[in-house]
Amino acid sequence: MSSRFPFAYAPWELRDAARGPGLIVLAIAVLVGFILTRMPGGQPFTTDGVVRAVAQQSLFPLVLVVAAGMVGRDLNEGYYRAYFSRPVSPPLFYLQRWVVGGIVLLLYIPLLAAAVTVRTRDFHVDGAIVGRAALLYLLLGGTVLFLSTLIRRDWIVAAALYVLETILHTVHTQGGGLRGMSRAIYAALPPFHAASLERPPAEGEIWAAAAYGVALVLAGLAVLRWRALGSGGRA
Amino acid sequence: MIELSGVSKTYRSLIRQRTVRALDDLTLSIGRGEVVGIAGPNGAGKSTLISLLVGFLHPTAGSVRVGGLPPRAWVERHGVSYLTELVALPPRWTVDETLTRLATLSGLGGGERQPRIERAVALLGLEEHRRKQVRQLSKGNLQRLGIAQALLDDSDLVILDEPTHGLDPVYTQRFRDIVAELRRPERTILIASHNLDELERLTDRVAILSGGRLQRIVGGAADVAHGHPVAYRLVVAGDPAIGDGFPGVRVAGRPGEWRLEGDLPALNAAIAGLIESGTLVTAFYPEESRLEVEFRRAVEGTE
Repeated sequence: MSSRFPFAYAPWELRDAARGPGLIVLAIAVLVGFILTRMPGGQPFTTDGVVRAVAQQSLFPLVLVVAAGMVGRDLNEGYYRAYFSRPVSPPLFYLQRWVVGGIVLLLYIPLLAAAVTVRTRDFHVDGAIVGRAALLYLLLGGTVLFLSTLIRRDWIVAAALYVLETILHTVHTQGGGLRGMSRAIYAALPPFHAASLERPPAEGEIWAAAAYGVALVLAGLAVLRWRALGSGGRA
Repeated sequence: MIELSGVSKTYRSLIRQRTVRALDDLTLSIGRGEVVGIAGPNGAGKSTLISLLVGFLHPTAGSVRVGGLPPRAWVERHGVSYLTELVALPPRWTVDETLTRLATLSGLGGGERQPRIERAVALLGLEEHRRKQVRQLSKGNLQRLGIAQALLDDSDLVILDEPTHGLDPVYTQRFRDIVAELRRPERTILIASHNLDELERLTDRVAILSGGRLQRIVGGAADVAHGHPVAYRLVVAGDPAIGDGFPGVRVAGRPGEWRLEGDLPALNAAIAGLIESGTLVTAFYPEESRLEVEFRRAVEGTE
């Protein structure tokens, strides 16, 4: 009996993700489709244009919904005792959960496109938007995963880092540049701006951001390998 | 199977710089085939010891080995049949779902999984609760689910923390039968409990912890309890006066039910005299079991 990588448990993870964040994703898509059918005719919609605009506003909170408490909830509630007294590796268990969450998030874009098609009659999924959503999940979802292995309020801290990076990036690109401490903080923060749908980033910037995201995920898994899951005899 | 050598565990509070020493220089060896009890008052370090054995905590000092491996390595390779003191399961899972999910995590395949689940459900009498969510279960039924999920695994290491907590007398007895069935030459069973009577019935020996230290081991070859006077209860029909008639025996209590304290030869002689005089003895039993006496002495720090 040895199942360090719990592949067989993946359908349960998928079910959990579908019932939680998946329902929110579906609700947003349905709502967008409904609103579009109610809007007066004559306005020139394109599927990509609407999907891009909606995704730009909704991906950030959706990533937080998918990833929040991914590890921390099990540790705080004590569920980890039932999971990890079994032949299961905690890092691989949470890597699988994180990947499943990402799959559900990425389904959001085609779902959204399908909803918009109700109005545009032109189903089309823009690979660039899916790619940007994946990059955001890698960066922001990776940040939440990493934080979740260390602290309880993972999503709040991740959201604060996202907002801080967005502000510093705006100052950096539109103002007179950053200096001193703020420059160092900007350089250290995850480059969330690379996943923005508003402007196409350079290819090098995308790869650097992806590498940063992978590093965050690996760091989270390393913490899970290294840290004691319990914090006390009963906790 | 289990080797603890000079194990200490100290909890540190980062903010107040407070430290709590939960275990202190604990050395203990437990072999395959043994059923060992862990007893101790609240805060003695029982749960910390168990968390170290499952690898949920790391020792501050000393070494813990399970089957020759660090605990997490052993658990990730073989799994542990583990019942935690406070059964914590996601509240919206149903009983069936809980057992299926956890059996899947145990690595049980389709053909093996369902029979194990059915057996655990039947053993713990969970048939009528299968569709209930965890949050809808009473404390006793949640405990039964906790035991059922531990029984899904067929591990060589079974660790049960307060297993009869919240169980009614029927399932307490059922649990005793289950432990008897779990005994195997290659399997080590550890039971932590406040219930000394239960530990005395189920285990080969009991390690008594107090203040994070191993105070003594009672039972088996390591038994150190002998020759100490132990109090007994004597129940007789009617109310014969026996106050001064028992040399070497301290008598207290009330007519019909007496508390006798003395060594066994003196007690035997006293009871023989009573029976000869025509008194009907209806019961004679130790007021405290040997384990209870040892436990009290260990906790009070007396010999």
